[in-house]
Amino acid sequence: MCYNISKIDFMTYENMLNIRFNKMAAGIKKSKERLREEHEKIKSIISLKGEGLMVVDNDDKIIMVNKITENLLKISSKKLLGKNIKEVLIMLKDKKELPADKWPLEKAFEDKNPGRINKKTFNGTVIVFRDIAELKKLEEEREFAKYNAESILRSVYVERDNVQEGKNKLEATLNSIGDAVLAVWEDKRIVILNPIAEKISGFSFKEVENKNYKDFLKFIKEETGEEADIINEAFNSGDRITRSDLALLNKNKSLISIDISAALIKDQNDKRMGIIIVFRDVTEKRETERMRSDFISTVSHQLRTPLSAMKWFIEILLDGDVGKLKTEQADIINEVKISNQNMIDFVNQMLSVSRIENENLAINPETINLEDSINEFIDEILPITKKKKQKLAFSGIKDKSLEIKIDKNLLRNIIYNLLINASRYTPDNGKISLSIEKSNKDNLLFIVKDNGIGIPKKDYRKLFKKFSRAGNAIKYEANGTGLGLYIIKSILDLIGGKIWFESRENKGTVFFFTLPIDSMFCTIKK
Amino acid sequence: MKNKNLILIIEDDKFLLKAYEIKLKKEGFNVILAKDGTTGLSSAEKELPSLIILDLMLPRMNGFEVLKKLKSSESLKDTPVIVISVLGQKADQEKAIMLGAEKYLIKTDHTLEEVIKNIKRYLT
Repeated sequence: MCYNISKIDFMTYENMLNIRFNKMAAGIKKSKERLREEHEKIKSIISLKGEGLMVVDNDDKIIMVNKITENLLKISSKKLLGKNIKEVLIMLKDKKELPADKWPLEKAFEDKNPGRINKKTFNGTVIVFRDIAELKKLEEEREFAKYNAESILRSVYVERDNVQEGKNKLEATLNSIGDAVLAVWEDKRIVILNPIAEKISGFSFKEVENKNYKDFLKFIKEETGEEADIINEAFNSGDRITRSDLALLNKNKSLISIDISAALIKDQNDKRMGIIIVFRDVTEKRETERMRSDFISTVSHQLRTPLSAMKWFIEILLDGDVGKLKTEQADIINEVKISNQNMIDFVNQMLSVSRIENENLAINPETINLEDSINEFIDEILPITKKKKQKLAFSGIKDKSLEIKIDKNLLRNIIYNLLINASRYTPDNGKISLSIEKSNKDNLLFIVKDNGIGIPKKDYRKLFKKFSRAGNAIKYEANGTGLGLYIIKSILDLIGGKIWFESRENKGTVFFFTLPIDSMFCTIKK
Repeated sequence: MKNKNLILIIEDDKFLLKAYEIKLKKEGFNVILAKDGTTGLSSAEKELPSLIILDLMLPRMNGFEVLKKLKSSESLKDTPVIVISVLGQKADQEKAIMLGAEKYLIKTDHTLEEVIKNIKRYLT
């Protein structure tokens, strides 16, 4: 079979050849283009900003460097070209010099593709490098920041654990305290209600947490039933408030007798943050107190009534209201008078001792002017000292306006008894003095001095004990119950004061006692 | 009309009543004695004394109740009352003053002379 080659076919073949030729031409053009692009690229790579470029041949000779390299290495190209790179430069790894045979250039030489520079082909390595000091610094900073963030995070975790531990400790403490603890923030929200407080109030902490305390807890004056907002009082006055006459109206609307103490919580800048309240159920105690109170009043009545009858009849006799007495009769009646007064003093002191020992000593602090009050107490003693023609001196207080918050009766008890003793155990025409000074930043010091019979050393040890009287005191003055100093010491123990003395037989005695400037029962107001 | 010189004493101990009587009469006062609150109140309404001495520990009606009644009686509310008692607690003293007593004296702390001084002081 033969094919007929027609004109058309020939034309088609020519076309085909033309097409192929054009394609080839286009291809060659494209290759040329690409080569040119590559060349441009290399040129631009070589002159790329910030990057140093060096070309090194197989014999490690530097055959090309760019401007950046000259700048980075601070060596001119003249000095670099044609030189062995290993003789011109040092490479350091981990701050130690890398020996020449360890340079990481060899691997590149394995690639056998020829490059071309300035129409000369070459085999070698293109080294591209840049100054990464900045980069390294940034990386270091980043590492440092990361490390810092991690350590901060770690300390945050530690703190969180500490806080949690602290919280746990606080919770454990609150749970095991035998008293009810309630804390209220300054916005009146309840923030602490420990288990005992829950029990007494009838509310669970969950029920009242972060709610206004007034919606749940009412404090009432037990005797009168009127409301006593002790929390508000503590917050406004800034003082610690202690009350033993209140009751709490609990969830079931029953009244629970409580002893309560409320104090301000302040931060380091003295700013008021809230109130912490501690209280306890004293229903049984109050009941016992009521019974004891009844007992005391019964005893008082039974003893005091006949004692006052005797006192007044003695007075009537001695005044001659039922007829004039003969001297001898009067003398006898005077003896009776003394005995009678002794019994009265004894009953009075026994009542004090009973109250002290049974903690029935109601402590009712009130704010009083110290100097005025001392003068009042002295006025009570003056008739006694005047009788013995003794001189009683009170030097007064530096700050006339000084106020003290204390139970006035207890203070009177202390000062009166010390002055009575001073007068009793000092002869006629003797000297007694009372002075007050600030002993240190925590206490006021009171000093009662006399020039009387003094206290023998052998009696020092038992002086403050119940019913004990010094040997020479008994001989000197038949009167005396031996209870005065015991009562004074008991009162001072209660309110946080101390008492001691110095004495010389037949020369005189000095008694010292202190009152704390800031305690629950005694506060000196500045 | 109030009897200017009349003192009413409400006290349940007969010895004390006797002592009061002797001393007060010696000082020139007229005296009515009452052994309990009820007798005291009716005597007061009837005789209109110028001053009342009141004990607190009385049988049946206690002294505080008597005091309350005295102070709420139209004819007696302005009559001065001196409470003279054996009870020494501060609470009792405060309560008596709060209920309207002029003065509170603890029996064993004062002589009759001091009682007389107080009577003269509070007599209107």
